[in-house]
Amino acid sequence: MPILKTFCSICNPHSHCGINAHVEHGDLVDVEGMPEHPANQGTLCSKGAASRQYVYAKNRLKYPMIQRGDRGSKNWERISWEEAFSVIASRLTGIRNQYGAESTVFFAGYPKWYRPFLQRLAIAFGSPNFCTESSTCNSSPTVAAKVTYGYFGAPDLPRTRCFLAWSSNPFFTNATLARHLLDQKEKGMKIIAVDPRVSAFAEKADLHLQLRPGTDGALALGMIKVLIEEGLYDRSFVERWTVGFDELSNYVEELSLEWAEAMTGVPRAKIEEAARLYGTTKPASLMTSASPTTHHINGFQNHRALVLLPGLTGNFDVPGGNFVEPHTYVHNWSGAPTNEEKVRLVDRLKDLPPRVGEDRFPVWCRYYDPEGQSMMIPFQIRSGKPYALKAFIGFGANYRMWPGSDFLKESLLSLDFLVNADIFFTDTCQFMDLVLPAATSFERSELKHWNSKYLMLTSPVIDPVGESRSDFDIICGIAKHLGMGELFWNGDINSAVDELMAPSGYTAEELRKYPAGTTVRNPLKPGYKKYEKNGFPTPSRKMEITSTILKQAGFDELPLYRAPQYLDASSNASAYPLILNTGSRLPMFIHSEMHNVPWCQELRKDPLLDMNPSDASDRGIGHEEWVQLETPRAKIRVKSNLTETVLPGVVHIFHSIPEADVNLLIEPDYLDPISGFPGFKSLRCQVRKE
Amino acid sequence: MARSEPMQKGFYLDLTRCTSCYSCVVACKAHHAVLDETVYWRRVMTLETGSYPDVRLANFSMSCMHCGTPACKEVCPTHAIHKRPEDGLVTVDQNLCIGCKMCLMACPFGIPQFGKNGKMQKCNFCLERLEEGLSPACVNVCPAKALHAGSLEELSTLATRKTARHLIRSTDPSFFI
Repeated sequence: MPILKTFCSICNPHSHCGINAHVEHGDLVDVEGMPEHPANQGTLCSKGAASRQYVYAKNRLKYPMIQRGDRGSKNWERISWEEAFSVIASRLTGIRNQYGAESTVFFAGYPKWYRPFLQRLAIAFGSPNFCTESSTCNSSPTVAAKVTYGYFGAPDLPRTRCFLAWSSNPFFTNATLARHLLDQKEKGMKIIAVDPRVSAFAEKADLHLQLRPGTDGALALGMIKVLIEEGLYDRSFVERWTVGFDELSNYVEELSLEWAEAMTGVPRAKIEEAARLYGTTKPASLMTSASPTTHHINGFQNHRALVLLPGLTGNFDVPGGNFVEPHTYVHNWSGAPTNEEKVRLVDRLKDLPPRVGEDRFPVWCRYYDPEGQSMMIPFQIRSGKPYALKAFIGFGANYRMWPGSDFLKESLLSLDFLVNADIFFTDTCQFMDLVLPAATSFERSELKHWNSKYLMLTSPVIDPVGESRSDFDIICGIAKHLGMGELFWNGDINSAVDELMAPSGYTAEELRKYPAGTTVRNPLKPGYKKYEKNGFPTPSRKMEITSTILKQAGFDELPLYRAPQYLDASSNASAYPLILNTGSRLPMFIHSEMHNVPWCQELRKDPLLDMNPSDASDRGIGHEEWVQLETPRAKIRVKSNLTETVLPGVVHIFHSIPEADVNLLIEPDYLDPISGFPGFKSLRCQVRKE
Repeated sequence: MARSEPMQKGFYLDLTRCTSCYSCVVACKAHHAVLDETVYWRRVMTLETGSYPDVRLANFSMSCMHCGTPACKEVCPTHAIHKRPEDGLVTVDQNLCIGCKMCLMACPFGIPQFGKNGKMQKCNFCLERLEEGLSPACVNVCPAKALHAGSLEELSTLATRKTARHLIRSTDPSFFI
């Protein structure tokens, strides 16, 4: 049986495992991890191991379909690709003529691989509104670090001796890191975990700081106080390379560790121990996560406070610290430079109207990749300000991603034209006008970069399911029917890859000679302490503890701590006494993905609400009983899961469960004022026995 | 074949490394095309002890332990369960199985599984992979490198480094933990 080479793209782009696909008569019959691939070295996570059921899921979209009659009427009619493209081109042209190109939003969910091409389509069409799920994902931490340092870096893992994981469970988020982290631990690397829950990762830490949700800033400031007062910061770095240290010192002097303990629930002694361990074990690195610290309405400044730690301790851009490597392609740093930005046509944005959300979240919009802030889509649809929105072209869009998901759905339903391309017939697809079947990574050709200095240009390893097509082909098809075929390489992925990879001297022809991928030759070698050459890429050329950018935008220049809303005395504490923490990773799902895959879904069938037994017994609730989870906005039916891994007073539920959509419980404007990120992880709730 | 037999094959789970990621569980079902949602040849369990603020978790990945003296085999009325002389692996012949579940009652670990056809099924150590010199699917997939397969002699060497031990039960399981 032939073994063909591809990779799994179900989860986030920092992981993505090489796959040996066992193929018989064009069908996928088994998968294994690819042993020679540096990212996974033959291993897979539970999602990747379920690839066969993912590819052949019952709810795969097989054909382009148009909904005749009312949206949601289920009056679907199969149409040809040619007809689908014609309808899209003619509707978009009409809407552009009447309302302007900016009235069409192009949205990208998961996976992320086609984003450069979709943004190219949006901008070439004339719309600045390329929006993505990054509006609630990694972008707030990215901007928080950017206004502080100008850039940021991941832990330089093999060299680090102290690994501070702040609200991250890499065992489930980046399964490819698991073996490396455990190897390093066995070699003596210390692990500090900051997490409101006893996660599988926190359990293996040398020190676990179990803080209350949304109090990360208070914890970071408490640690900073210890570092400064005990002289554990890097004096020469601070004097030479920072602005605002005196202001920070004065601020933390006013704060006490008793205050930090009262805010966070973490005992003072543990805060001191963590600061000393992180401050004296050199080199130390900080592992942040894509979003947990910033899914609070005080999250941006909380994250600002905690990203000060590497700089203050001299661990920024040093071996074994947080090492800054240049981005190369779609959220990865392979060492092989690309023309991604050119392909995205972002230089044309300056001639286009402002993006969605640019008026309300100017710092986020200016300092993240040039995208619209998706959280503002429903508000702009309703207000028509600063201009009307009329069409939504989604790729992997999931309306349940938004806080107040029903509010977004209603907003979308008021638009003139709704399209979603997806692998599966999701519940977002159900209310579209037109749906387009997208291919999985097994059925398409894709250029992929890995941080492990590795490249792949895959070819399809199986026949496409139904008439599904690569997202690239779909984007080029739309472009062609809009009269822009040439700008989209006439649909030829090899030409696109040639243009993308030109700066590193690879061609599609060469990359196709290595079906299992290839180690980047002559990768960029950025070196450490890059700031010593030209300073930091910030307004002051230094690490900005006090941020010029935030000050100019009217925000606190220091990461002053503002307690989460649930601690506000005016909030309705007696009716909603529990703190609701949502999201995070389970190993068998990623967001809304894999709930349709039996091998994953059967591992956790019910919508489980993690609840401390003490809170349950107060309410007469037993284990695995149906309960109502309620906020002032709405309630959902869930099943209790009594566990000591969550703090007393805090309940936790996974997001994206179709039959128990927790985002219904959250107000759509419950957003951080700087980033626009929703407060998914700290709001008041009550749980009642049914 | 008992624990003194060096050729007996079995598993070693490194408790310091298992992350409860369920990769082994899914890889097992996928490789053996087990579609029945209640049937697991391999399972992962997390044991929680203590209460806030002192909580400990222990993750276990468990399958058939290919015991030295398998209780399931002893009680099987149709001799459907067989212990291979060459490597001590315990296999089941579904053609002989009558689905009486005596084996399930006898097994100290609750391993035998019964799907829609009513016949006993369980881990077979991925025999067809073994013939090609490959490790079982569950071991091969493990992102934490926590699960190992091999002869008792090999496993003993690995386990000793981590102060893990041969599990002691009356059936002499071929399992280090």
